[in-house]
Amino acid sequence: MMRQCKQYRKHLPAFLDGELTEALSRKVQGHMDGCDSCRLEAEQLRLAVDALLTWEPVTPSADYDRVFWQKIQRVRQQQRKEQRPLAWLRLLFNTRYGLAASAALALCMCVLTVLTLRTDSGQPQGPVAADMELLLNMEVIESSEALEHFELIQMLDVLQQEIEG
Amino acid sequence: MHEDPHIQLMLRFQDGDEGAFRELFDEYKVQLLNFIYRYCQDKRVAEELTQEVFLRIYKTAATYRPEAKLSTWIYRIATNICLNEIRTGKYKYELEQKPVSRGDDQQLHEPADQKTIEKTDEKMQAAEQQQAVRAAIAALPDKQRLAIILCTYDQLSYSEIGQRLGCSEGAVKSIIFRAKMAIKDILKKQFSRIQ
Repeated sequence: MMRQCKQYRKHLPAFLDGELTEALSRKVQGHMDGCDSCRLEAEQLRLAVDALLTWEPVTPSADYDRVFWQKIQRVRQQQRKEQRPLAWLRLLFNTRYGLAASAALALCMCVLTVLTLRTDSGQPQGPVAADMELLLNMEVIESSEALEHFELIQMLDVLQQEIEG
Repeated sequence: MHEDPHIQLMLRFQDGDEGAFRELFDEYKVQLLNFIYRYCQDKRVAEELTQEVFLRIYKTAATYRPEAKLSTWIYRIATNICLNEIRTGKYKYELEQKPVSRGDDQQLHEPADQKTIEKTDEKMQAAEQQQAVRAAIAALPDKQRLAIILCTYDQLSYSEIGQRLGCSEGAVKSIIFRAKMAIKDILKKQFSRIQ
């Protein structure tokens, strides 16, 4: 085999498959026109490919479709089973009711947090809260003052009665 | 809007249309079965693997992006399954070595006329040729085998083969060169033995 032949032979399968550029294809054809050895090589390759094409295709078995759709059915059931625990969560985040509920819950959490922080901090309460507390305890304070000065008030009552009498 | 009707089917399936998946299955089942069958040469295994390809398409449909031809995506899945599932030994297969007989319909003890004998000889020769072809393809390394199947039976261009096997056009040219030369040599030996 000539050195030139070796260079052209590496293109033979692509030449037979019509995968070479027009220019290269013309070169290979030109070489084969004058080279019996390469022409024979190309012919043997073509025969080999023809032989490959005698291999008959197969058709699916009779129960092929039925078996496959049963497998798909099992996949669907599995997917449904996996989705079920998360379904209520999805519903919650996918609907406007869910969003409203989430917003309300977040608001409650914020109020609770603020109130907890304020109670725990030990800082003096604001005027409104202080007044409310005073109002609620007024009766107790009044009665406790009356109890503290009970004897003095009693003495004053006796003195007043003597002066009048 | 994609013009490729197969891509449209896939997009419809992504939107929840199960009928579109059924159409895709009917469209590809025979060609995929033959692609895999010619690779593993065992019909039972080929059927299981083809179903595996469709199951994977069904499960991973959401990940498909219509950037290339749908057939390219499907064959990439099929190629990966052929290379991985068989390599990992999940599916064991052996080359079907069917004995070549003189035909079931002919009783050897019955007298046969010349025409029947010639016909039977032709049948035997064809069967032996098919056996030789299968053995030649089975003797190739994985990638060469896949490339030669896509080139010869699916009639794909080198560029399309490259897309399906995940390699360049230049690499495909080289793979097919080696595969065809090997097949030619094997068949030459086989046929000289047969004839």
